[in-house]
Amino acid sequence: MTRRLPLAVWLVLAAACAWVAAHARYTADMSAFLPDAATPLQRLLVAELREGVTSRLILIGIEGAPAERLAAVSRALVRRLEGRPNFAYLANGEARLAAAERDFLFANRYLLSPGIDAQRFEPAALAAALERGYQALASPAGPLVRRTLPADPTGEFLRLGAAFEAEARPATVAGVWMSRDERTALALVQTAAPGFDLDAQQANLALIEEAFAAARTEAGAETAVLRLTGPAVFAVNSRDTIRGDVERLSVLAAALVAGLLLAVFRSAAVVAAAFVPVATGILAGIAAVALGFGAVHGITLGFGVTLIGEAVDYAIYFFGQRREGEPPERALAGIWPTLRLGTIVSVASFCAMLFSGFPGLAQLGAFSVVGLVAALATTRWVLPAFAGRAVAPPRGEAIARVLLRWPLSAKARLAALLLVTGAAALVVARHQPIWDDDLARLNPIGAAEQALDERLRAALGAPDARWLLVVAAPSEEQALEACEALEAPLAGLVAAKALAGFDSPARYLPSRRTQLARRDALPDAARLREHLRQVVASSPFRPGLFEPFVRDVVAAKAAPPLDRARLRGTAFGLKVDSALVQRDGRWYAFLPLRGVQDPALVAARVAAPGAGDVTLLDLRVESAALLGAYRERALALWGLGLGLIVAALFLHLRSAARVLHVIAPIAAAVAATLAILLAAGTKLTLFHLVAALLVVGVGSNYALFFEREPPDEAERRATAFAVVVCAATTILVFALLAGSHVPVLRMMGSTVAIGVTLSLAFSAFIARSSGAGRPVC
Amino acid sequence: MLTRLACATLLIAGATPALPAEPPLTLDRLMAELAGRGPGTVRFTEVKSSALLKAPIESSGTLSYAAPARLEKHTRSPRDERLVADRDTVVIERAARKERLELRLADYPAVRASIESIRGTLAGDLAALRRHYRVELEGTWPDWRLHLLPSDPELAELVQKVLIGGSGARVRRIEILEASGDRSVMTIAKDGD
Repeated sequence: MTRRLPLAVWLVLAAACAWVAAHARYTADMSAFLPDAATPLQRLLVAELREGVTSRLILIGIEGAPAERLAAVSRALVRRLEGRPNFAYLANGEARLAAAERDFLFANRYLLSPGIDAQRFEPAALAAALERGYQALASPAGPLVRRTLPADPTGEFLRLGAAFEAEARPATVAGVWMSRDERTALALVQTAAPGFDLDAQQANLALIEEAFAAARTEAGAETAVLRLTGPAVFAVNSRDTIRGDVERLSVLAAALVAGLLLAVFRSAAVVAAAFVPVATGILAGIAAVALGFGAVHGITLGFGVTLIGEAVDYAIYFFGQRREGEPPERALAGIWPTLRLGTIVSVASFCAMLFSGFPGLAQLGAFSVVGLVAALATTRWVLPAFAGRAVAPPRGEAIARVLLRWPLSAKARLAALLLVTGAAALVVARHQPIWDDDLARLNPIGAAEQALDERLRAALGAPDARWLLVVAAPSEEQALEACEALEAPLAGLVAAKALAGFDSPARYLPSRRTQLARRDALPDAARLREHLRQVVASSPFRPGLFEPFVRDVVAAKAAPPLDRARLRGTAFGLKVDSALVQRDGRWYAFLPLRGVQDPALVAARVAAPGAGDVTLLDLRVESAALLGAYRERALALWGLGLGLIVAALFLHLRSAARVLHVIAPIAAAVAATLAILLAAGTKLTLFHLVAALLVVGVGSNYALFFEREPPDEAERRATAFAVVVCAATTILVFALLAGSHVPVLRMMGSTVAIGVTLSLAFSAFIARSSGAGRPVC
Repeated sequence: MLTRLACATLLIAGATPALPAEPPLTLDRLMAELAGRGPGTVRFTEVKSSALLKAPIESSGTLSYAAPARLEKHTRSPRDERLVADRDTVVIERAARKERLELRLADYPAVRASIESIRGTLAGDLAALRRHYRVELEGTWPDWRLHLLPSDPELAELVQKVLIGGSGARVRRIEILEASGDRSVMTIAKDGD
């Protein structure tokens, strides 16, 4: 009766959790592990990383066939993707596609060209323009101007085109972009969905792959292969990698732990019972995260594996310390206070993560806290129903002999541990640099994928995105006006060779003010005809030739100013969308700078009055600063977690000496682990800190069990035995995790495996003997 | 009768291989000859006539080619201007005005049409020519004519035809007929002239 009610409650809850977990949405967006509340500028950068236009770019490489075939595949592929709402922009170098840009520039040349002012259409200026036009026509560039000269004698289109050409773009073979070695046909798509929308991106990738398969057949290039890269590709692949890894490792870890338990307890019932709290904890954790956060991160699932290592301990303590014939409730009562305290300590450490404000860490915290509490509750109220009569075979003697026989006095051992802690802390403190500032290292993508990304990016001539001017303004119009105000100082910097070049959204979308000024500068038809009449007669051109010019100027004078919507579907639209964004009610314009030689001079010139709110950003420094700020907060949280742990220990043990006894081995273990990692050449990341918290959580259980004053030698041996089995399962699980493909899981795996091993050794090292004052063993 | 016909056949058959020292003119052989010439510089004069202009424009200068894909057209009169095409980019410089324009051929079919036809011919690169044109050959070794007819519709909107005349491994005349009716005729002087 007493067992049936909790069992029923547990069944219902577990089923509900399983249902939620099965219907949860899963993500692998690494930016969830980025801080979201640093400076406004950093917030802007992170938001851009998550959903900006760059996050929507997919780079396409087609390889494995002769260049001509690759080009045919590229054309067929783009044709198949064209017109789909999934893709906002497609480019593979085909002139057919660039025609949209050319038409746009030509049609809007009188609103876009910086050369437009009232002087431009006076007879003297027109005469000079016609002479230039004639020389151009006579020159090798003749064919360039032949078509446009009658409608554009002042050469506005050519001027705009040349500015657009100045950027590095890939070479073309057979009309499509191709790498220098002609082995890779290149293309670019911008998705409509933001980069972090993984389900949409996965569908987009599937669409591209499907179109490619058809294009390959159509072009008769069956050997051609498709290579995709870009933030969305990485995110989708990482999700698959993480999911695959987590599934594989979970199964493997569960099997190995089960095998180990079977070998130790020689009872299938014990093994089955041991997994009840584990499974409940994992399901509850996933369900809590799914309900609380909307989506479950892949890394959080990875934590499910680690929970196997920790929650299985509850059952091991129970069976390990249960005496022959003892009713399960009584056996449980014996270890319950220690179990509960151990869980409270772990929960305290994870609470720091839960309230961190970092979405990724908060998930890990929530998962662990809920998972552990659920596992503990299951142990307390459900496990006895599964316990049967099983106990551990009497095997503790050998372990106790090895582990608990130390020649030193208790005091000397404590002192030795403090010495180890100090020495390790010294190693950590003196090691420089301690921290890894490379954001890329957290990415669960492999070196091969990264190399492919770099290769395609270089081949596509993606600009070196290191220096950026950020203009902030209250409105889009003001942001564009500020960009225009920067044009002159930046051109001066280019002339002074402080800068190789720059780009500005105002080039493609001038401010309304500028557009209206240009429009006002255009003459009316009668005036323009009169001016032309004066100059054409004495020119080499036939009379009446420039009637298309008059027609276009008249049309431009009546046209509405350009807005963002008119740029959609062109490369300019892509540029403006990525370089002019609204966030938190403010407008930001980004002006990428190329080849910055003199940052100080650039910063000084752009800060000149009238330029508005302008910041020069070095993205390399900024992202390092971002990580630094993030880490400082993480360290503060870590400190908070430790404080909570000490407080919890004090509340329960009510003795400084006892608290010290629990903390000393854990502190030594954590310090020594970090020292070992640093000495091995690892630079520390946030995830090492998370792993260290895990070590504290798991290791404190060992310390707590060893710290208990056992009533007799048998109990002491049973404790040693249970703790060793617990540690063995934990080390096993985390060592497995250290072999993961996902760097974050690998880091945590190795850190916890080392840390737990040391925790076990150090906890045993200062374990209390049975009965006060008695010599050890 | 029969014998006479047989004799005639024999005569023709026997005479053919003995007659020319050179093999018959085929596209492949001509291209091989042109390709065998290697790098070099020749002088040219060019006459451009355009519907835009009251009178044709005459110019002259030098034309250089270097494998695999570099073509330089250096106009010296009436103004000093240089066009250097290498692979898929072209740089146009006007010394007097200190102007420099760098273009990608793919973006400017009009420029590409003339450059690819001249470069492809000088390089003897049939594949390159065929990328943009249907190539037809007529004439004899001492006086051959290549007709280049744009194969893609985009190019055909600009260029009606490119006619290249030559003798042996030498190109003598390049005539570009634009779709607009404009025409340019480039005459190449003999080496060393």
